[in-house]
Amino acid sequence: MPRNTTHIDPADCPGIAEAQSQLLRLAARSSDATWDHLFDSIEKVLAPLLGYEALVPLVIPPEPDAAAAQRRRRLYTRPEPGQPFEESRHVMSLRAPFRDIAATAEPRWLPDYHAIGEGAEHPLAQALVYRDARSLFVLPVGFGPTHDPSRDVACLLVFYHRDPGVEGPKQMAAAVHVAPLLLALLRNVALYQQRRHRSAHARIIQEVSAEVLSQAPSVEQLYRRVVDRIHDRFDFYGAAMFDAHWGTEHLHLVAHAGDYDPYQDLSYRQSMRVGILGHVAQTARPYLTNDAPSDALYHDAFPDAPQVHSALAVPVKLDDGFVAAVLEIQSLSPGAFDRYAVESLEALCGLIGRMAQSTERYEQTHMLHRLGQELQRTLDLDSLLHAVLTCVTAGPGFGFNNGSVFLLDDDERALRQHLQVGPASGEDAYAIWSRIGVRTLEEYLRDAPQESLPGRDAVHVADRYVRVPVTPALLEAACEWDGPFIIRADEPSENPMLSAFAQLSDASECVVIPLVARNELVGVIVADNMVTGQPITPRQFQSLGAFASQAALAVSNATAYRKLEAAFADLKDAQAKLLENEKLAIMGQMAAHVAHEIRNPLVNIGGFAGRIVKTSDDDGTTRRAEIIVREASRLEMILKDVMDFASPLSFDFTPERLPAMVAEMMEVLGETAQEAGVDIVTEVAEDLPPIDADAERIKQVVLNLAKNSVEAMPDGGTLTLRLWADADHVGLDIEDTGKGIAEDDLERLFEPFFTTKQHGSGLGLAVTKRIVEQHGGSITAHSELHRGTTFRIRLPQHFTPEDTP
Amino acid sequence: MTAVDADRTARVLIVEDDESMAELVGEELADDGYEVEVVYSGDEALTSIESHPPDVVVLDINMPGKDGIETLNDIVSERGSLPVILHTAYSAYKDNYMTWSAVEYVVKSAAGGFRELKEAVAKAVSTAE
Repeated sequence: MPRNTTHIDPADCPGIAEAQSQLLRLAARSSDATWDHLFDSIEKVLAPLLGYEALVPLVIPPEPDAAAAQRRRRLYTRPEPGQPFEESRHVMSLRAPFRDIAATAEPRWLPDYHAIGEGAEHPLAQALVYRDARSLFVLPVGFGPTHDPSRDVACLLVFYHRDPGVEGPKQMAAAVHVAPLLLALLRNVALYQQRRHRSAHARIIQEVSAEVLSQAPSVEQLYRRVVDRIHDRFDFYGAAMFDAHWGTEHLHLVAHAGDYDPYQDLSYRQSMRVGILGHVAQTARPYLTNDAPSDALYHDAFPDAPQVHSALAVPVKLDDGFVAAVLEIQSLSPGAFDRYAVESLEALCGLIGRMAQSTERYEQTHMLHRLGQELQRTLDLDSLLHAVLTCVTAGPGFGFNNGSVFLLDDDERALRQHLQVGPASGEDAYAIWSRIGVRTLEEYLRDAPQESLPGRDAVHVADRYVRVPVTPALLEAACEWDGPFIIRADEPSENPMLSAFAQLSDASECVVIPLVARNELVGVIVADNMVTGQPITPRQFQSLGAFASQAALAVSNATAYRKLEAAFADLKDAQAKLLENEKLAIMGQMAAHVAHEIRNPLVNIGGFAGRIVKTSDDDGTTRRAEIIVREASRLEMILKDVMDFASPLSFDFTPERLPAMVAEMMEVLGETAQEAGVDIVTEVAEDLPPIDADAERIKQVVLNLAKNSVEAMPDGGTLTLRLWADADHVGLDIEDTGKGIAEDDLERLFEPFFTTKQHGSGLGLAVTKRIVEQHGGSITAHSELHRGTTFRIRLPQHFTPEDTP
Repeated sequence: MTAVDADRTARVLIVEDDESMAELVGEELADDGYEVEVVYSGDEALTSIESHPPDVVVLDINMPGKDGIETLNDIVSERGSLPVILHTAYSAYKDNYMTWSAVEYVVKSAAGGFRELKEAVAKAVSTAE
């Protein structure tokens, strides 16, 4: 028994019976009582009984974490009527003499309180001074050896009177007498509050569940609904959902409801290395603080958030324990959340996780659908591969750090790398990822083409073109593969193809996704988490199979389309050539007719002029006739060129030696060259093999080119004929030191009727080219102005005319 | 001056329907010392060959009536050893002349005073000996 109440019978205290019955009546109605209501009633009943004026209640609410409850023994008091709750004024720790009262659980009468032990700054001292309290009667309720801070409410009821020395002992005995009743009342109210709280949680969780069960269209919308609902129903200061970005180790705000300033901007993000959010993401466990301003972990991340007093963060986990998001709720009141809040939020987050996961599956299905659309949209292989790798690497897709696609070469001897999407280095990665920010798959796909421009960072068109050799046996085995493989660096695959791919990856494990379409391996996607080094999660692995078969079909279609396009282009070429040939044939017939009709009069003109030259004695006449002879002869030459070009050439292929033909033509040209002051140098490589050729035609080609070269050196120079051979061709370079050919002219050099000469037909080189091509060879010209020109002819050693189209 | 026998001048029969061309070619070959006879059709040519066998025939192809190829076939069947030079404005048939039993195919050209034709005639005369 309290030491100063031992010999007083509480029954002597007037009004005690009345007070008791009032308290019992209060207990009967306490199911919907609030703390305010309770303390108002206690004050109304007990203050007059004790002869005191009023009451300052100091409450210790139950603290779910028993250790924390011991550590932070905080008392909360009510604001003065009409005043707001303020931490500095309404939350306090216990100090003497109140600490002793709580510790001993004995009531105390302080007949002349002067805030001696408290210090004038202590909130309680201030509250009492504010009320001008001098006589105090302090009744501890719920303290003592049976007090369990993790379950029990406890309070100090401080009654005061403005006059010092107001009598106490008798009243104290009465108060102690009703103390158990008070405790029961307190517990009742606490219990009812908890139950109300819990049933409210349950109701809200039910509501939120019902909502989320109606299949949110996306994870983000799900999150938004959850925080909106929580904020509406619980009336917390704020609720927010953060997406965990493990790649960048950041938490990105995706949904928020409430007034908390930093969260008003949805681009808000926070490192996983600080704060309670990061702690929750890392530990995958909830974190509660009911005293945020003095919680270092909370303070870390939100140094400027003094108004938040309670914060609770709960992880949203997927089936595999992967923390996909963190839900945070905040309150301005201290001690706003108890263990039931933690439990309910955990339950809710479990549900959200499951919903998020199924929504994610839905999103992946949507992604497959979207990819399907993309495939329908494009038959362009490059765009398609880009879309495929975007799905592999984008966060809303499979979220790999790095993806690379290999396609089977046409000769089916190797899988060749076509495109890689991923950062070049770890440093790059963080820069890129934080720049890209949160995007939907749609946005990624829409932006992908621009990202692929050279110099853009997120994407590399593979410049290394890594090749992985394959054999028919490996390809056949690969057709049987029915899904992706995870290959670990320390457990190399027995399949040489798979282990070759694994070796290309710098990560400790990678996933190899075979692209099999119509029972044939068309390519392979290799993806890894090279930058973060994270293990490949089931989340990343699931749906890859379905994705791969769709991608494979698309790639196969696009490849086929590309081949078809090439074939169509060839066909168009052939058709154009055919048309050209037909046109040429008609032109040839026409030209032959015209040529014949022209040639007779032309020969007559030239011939009779020649007669005049021979027979005339008059110099003037002779000179004029000579002009006619010369011009007629020139016309004859043009006629001959036209006929050569217009009429189909027939060839007689026999093994011939090029050096002999060249030597013969140089003999023909010798005199002309000498007159022009041109030296002829012939360089012949040893052991030149014979070629299949029509000697007359090739001689025509050599003479034609050599003559052109000599004509290009009117002031003399050197004509070099260089004969050489490579693996299966024999070549002839005809090089002059003449005036050279302008670049524009060089391009048109082989076109019919194009000439740079004053008196040319423009057909010489066209005929030359035709002859070379009908030998299965090629001719090119290279020239430098004022330095000279080189023509290069390459003729195959073995050629049969059927080979030409 | 010409590829002739010790005792006689080589005779060239020119078969050419274009009269000015016939005159021109005749004069040019006469300049080289040949004895030249000119006829204007295939039939005339056969008659002439019958009465005065030449050493060489210069035969146009495109002629009205019996054309050069028919005439050539007739000459070959009558006198297989008589060398015939086809002299024509058509360059297109040049590849085929061997099958026609002519010794040479010369595309009409005044260049170098009928140099090509004259070389062909001279060669035919010398091999015919």
